[in-house]
Order: sequence, then C-alpha cells, then structure tokens
Amino acid sequence: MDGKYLLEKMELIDPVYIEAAEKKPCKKIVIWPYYAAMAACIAVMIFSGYDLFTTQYEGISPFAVINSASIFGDGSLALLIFISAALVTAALAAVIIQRRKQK
Amino acid sequence: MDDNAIVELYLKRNQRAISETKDKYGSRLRSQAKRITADDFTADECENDTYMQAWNSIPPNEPRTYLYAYLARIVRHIALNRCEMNNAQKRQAYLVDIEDEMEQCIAAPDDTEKVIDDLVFKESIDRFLSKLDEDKRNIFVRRYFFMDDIKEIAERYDYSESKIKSMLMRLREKLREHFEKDGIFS
Repeated sequence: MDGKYLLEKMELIDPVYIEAAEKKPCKKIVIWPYYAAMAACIAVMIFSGYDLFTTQYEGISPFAVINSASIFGDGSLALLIFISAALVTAALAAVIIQRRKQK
Repeated sequence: MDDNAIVELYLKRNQRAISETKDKYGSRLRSQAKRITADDFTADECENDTYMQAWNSIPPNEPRTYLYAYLARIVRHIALNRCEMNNAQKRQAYLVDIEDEMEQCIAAPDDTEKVIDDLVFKESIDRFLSKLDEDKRNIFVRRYFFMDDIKEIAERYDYSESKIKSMLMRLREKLREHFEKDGIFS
C-alpha cells in the first residue's frame, strides 16, 4: 500500500468534482484600489468644497492658498477642483458597481 | 454538440460519436495523457485507446451529464498503465514526485498488496472532498487526478507557487487524518 496505489485509486472520485475542476476559474476581480481612489477624491471634494464655501468670508478661509493660486483669485480654482473630484468620484462609483456585478 | 447528444450517438452505434468526442474533448484528453506520459506519440495512442474504450463501454454506461469526466478517467487509467509498461525500470520523475506526495496521506505505507474496496474508498474520498472549499477541492483534484504541475495550478488559480505547495501539504495532512478516522490505509 503506497503512494502509487493511492494515486491510481484517485480515479474513483465523483465525476462532479472532476467536471468542476476542469472549468476555468473566474479571474479574481480586485476592487479595493477603486475604493481607495474614491475615498481620496471625496477627501479632495470636502477640502475644496469647504474652501469654496468659506471664501465669501474674507480672511476666514483657512485655505486661502488655493484662492491666491487661482488666476481669478476668487475661488474659481476651488470650484474647478471640486467639480473635477466629483466627476472622478462618480466615474469610480460606476466602475465599482460594474466590477461588483462581474464578481 | 452537447454531451447528451454525443452519448445518444454512442448508444445508436453511430460512428460519428467518436468524431464528435474528438472535436469536443480531443485536445484536453491528449494534453492530460501527455502530462502523464511526457511523450506525444504515446499520448496520441492513449487518446485513441480512450475512444475505443468509450465505444466499448457506452452502452451499458450512459455518462450523459459527465462525459468529459468519464473520458478523463479512462485516459488517465490508460496513460498510467502505459507509463508503467514503458518505463518499468525508470519511472518518470514527475509521476514519482506525485506518488511520494500521495504516500504522505497513508499513515503506514508499506509494500503489501492490501486491497481496499473501491466503494469504501470512493465514499471516503468523496466525503473528504465535499468538506473542502471549492478552490481547495479544485486544486486538490487538479494535482492528484489531472496531475497538473504546481506552476500550472498557480497560473490557473492566480496564486503563488508557494501558496499552492503549502495548501496541498495541509490538504494531504487533512486527508491522512481523514483516512485514519475512517480506518483506511491503517
């Protein structure tokens, strides 16, 4: 009674298991990087949104550097960043939904 | 053509059954035979012998829902026997490795000719496999039924080779404990 005997006996396993093992496995779908990117975009939205809505109060905005960097100097850059981050977040959300369906 | 239709051709003794089987499963059967025999010519002979054996055994068997598994079992059996005949003095190193792995599942391996009842063994191994996760079960079957090498299994299931090796080692330990509990090979 040795390994060769056992290896030969393996032919007796249920055909259901043989058929299942023959099927190509589904490719693993990794989703977490998309979640991470979406979290980063939401953080940018919060940051730029906060700055955008506080620029109306002169001297109160803690993020005046964004406004001073803007060519318009009136918070347009913060608005641009906010809208871009929102669009990217929406695109990532669509990709995540599609990938979860594939899973 | 689906398996049910192919089996119907066998039952009606229509020789188209062989060509349909070859079209659908020929390449897989040949690659399985080649993996065991490591020789194209012998693998082709094993494939052709498989069709002949399928023709002779259907009927009375009617593997309508598991034709591939039925053929895979036949080609495996033929290829192992052919390997035994052709390399009596020097077993193929690859097969020897797998046999050594299987020996780890036997509590007290020896050279005696003890015969295990096929039904008892089948029930035991099927019970063992039914308790495993799908991934682990498939990996076990790919290694010890299809005799894939570790690299092929790692690529197929997108795992590293070291993960596959450690997974198989743990499965062999579990199988040995399972056989001891069932009183097989002890």
